[in-house]
Amino acid sequence: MVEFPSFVEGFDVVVNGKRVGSITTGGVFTVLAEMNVTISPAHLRSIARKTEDVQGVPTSNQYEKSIGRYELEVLGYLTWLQPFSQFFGGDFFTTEKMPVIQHALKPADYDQLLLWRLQLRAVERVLNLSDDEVLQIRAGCLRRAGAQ
Amino acid sequence: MPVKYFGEPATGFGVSVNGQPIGNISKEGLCIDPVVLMNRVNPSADDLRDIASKIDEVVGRK
Repeated sequence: MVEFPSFVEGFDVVVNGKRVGSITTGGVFTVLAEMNVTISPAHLRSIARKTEDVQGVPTSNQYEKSIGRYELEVLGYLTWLQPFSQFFGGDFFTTEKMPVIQHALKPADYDQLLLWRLQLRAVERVLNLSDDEVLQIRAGCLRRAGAQ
Repeated sequence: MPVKYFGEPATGFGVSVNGQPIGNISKEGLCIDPVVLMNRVNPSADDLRDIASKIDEVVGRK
């Protein structure tokens, strides 16, 4: 079975319960399997159709784009921190201790956001962030975006 | 064509898209290897259909 659950930037592609990639709102299918998975010819054709269906869908509105820009900054910061994660204590990501490096990362394009989002997941695993810390970071992104 | 197949029937076929390895063809379908996050592979709809046809061909459906 192939499913296409939606998220802000487009659709995940889930085959037999395993995520194999995403289709962004521009209609670009990106393969990002995090584990071994086999896709049947019928499912490949379904993904092809979905990719084409999504092409031409209007890009996300300005509010979503403002989230994306800020997320890029935050995610870029987290990615930058990754090699140093062993030195941080558990409270490093509290709001007052988390400096935002403005313009540290230049957003390349909207599609790039997907990649950064996936990298955040990797960083979350490496840093062993708690659910509360992850939610705090993401809520911060939303508050910032809503304030703009 | 950005989709390339390498190997032979006896050993199986590997698949690359735009020069990036994506996985191998098995009897069940395209077996995707976990892709390094930075190593993005973006097969087009036509690429996916090409791979689907190749799988059908390999397993004798065509």
